[in-house]
Amino acid sequence: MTDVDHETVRDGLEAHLPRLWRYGLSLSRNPSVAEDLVQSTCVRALERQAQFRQGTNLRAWLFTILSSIWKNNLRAEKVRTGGGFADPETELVFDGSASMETNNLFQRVLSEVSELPEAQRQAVMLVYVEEFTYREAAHILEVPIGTIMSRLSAARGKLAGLDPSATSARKTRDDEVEEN
Amino acid sequence: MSSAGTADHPRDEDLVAYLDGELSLSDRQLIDQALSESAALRQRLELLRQGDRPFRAAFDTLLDQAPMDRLMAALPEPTLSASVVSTSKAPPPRPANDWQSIGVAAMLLLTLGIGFAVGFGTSSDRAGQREVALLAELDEMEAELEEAEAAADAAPVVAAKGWRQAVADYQMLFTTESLTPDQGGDAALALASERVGLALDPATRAATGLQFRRAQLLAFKDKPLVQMAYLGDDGVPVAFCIIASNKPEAETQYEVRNGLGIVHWIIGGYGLMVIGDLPEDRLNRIASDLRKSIDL
Repeated sequence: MTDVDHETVRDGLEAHLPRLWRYGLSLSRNPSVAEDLVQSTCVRALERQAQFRQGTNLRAWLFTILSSIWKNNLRAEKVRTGGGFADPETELVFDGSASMETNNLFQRVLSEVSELPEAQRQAVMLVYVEEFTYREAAHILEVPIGTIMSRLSAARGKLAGLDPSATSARKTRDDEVEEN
Repeated sequence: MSSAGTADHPRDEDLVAYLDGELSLSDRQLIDQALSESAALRQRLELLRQGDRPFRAAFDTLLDQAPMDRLMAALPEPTLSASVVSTSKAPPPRPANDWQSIGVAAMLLLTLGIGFAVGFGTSSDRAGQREVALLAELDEMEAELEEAEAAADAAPVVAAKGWRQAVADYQMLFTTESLTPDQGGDAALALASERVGLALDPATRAATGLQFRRAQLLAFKDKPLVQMAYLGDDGVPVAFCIIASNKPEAETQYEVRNGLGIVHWIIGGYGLMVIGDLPEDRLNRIASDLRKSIDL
């Protein structure tokens, strides 16, 4: 997608709020944590708006901030408070899903992505949903580009129903052990 | 990517990057080469392709659910200058528009795509009926889009979008297996030649690096649309499509729709396009071959 050239970080934030919330939701699989993530992202982005260079990719900058907050703060907190990651109750199913009754296929895609391990889910969100390039996604998550590649490959393999052991046997990277 | 890993045994990562269009031209060529030499690798590529989903369309359905009032609470009121600027500029793209147009199309394609996959291998007639149904649906969708664009005829670019997008949506359903059995298409090709008034056979069967698989006579907005389907040497489905056009002649242009490369041009009262998940230079060569094969 193309980025609108926003006059200010504040305007850019406003325009990207739904996307940031969606990303936060996919990371946390918890609507209230997603809201906290977005609000923290707003606060931090506004605090640091002097660091944002006009003409660079504001959306990528905001996603970087959100990813960092998730990694360093809320994720740990959620683990500590026993939120867990694999709780099927917190899958990506929403109040609004009634309006999507005709939309079972999309719902299935949401569920499938929701069930991916977090690292794969992040890569899928950034590259396939937000349509960042591999390089941008690597920058946002502060990982090597090869890590993005192996996460996407693992995610695709899983969605295609490939035997994970056969998939990982082909791997040379240990990215999968980061989490489960 | 690490080219070292690619040259001999492309890994899944490399194949996925290939599918995602993330490889450099040279790396892409290495994969093309490896694919042309290994049926197992082609099969692996197809398996990984099956791990694709309409991710963006599915997730776009969530955008409307963002609790904007609560999220906005963390933002200060816009400054006067900022609000003046924002009203004087075009509003930011509304996510709702996004999913209505892309989402519905993708959902439809996926629905029918699954139907197609289920039907495939059981009865080619049934699969064929589904395709016809799909095309009819696409046609309706296009008509709706066109209605919203009142001056469609006055804007050739907009009007020209219609048929290429319909073809691109249809082309997304094709896999190597869709075209693995040679489905002939002699009768269809003869009929198509007659309907569009062009001698399509046998020249269009021969394009470098492509195996002709079948021809279909379709329709777009009541105009006959010929689709000739090919498999590339590497198993990539490619289509060459022709439709009557009253637009001014135009040289070949490249574009990407639904992640598929398209080379299209207008000549002698026909719009033509080549579409497939191939690099631009290769599509250009194919287009050049096919262009020579047709007497226009």
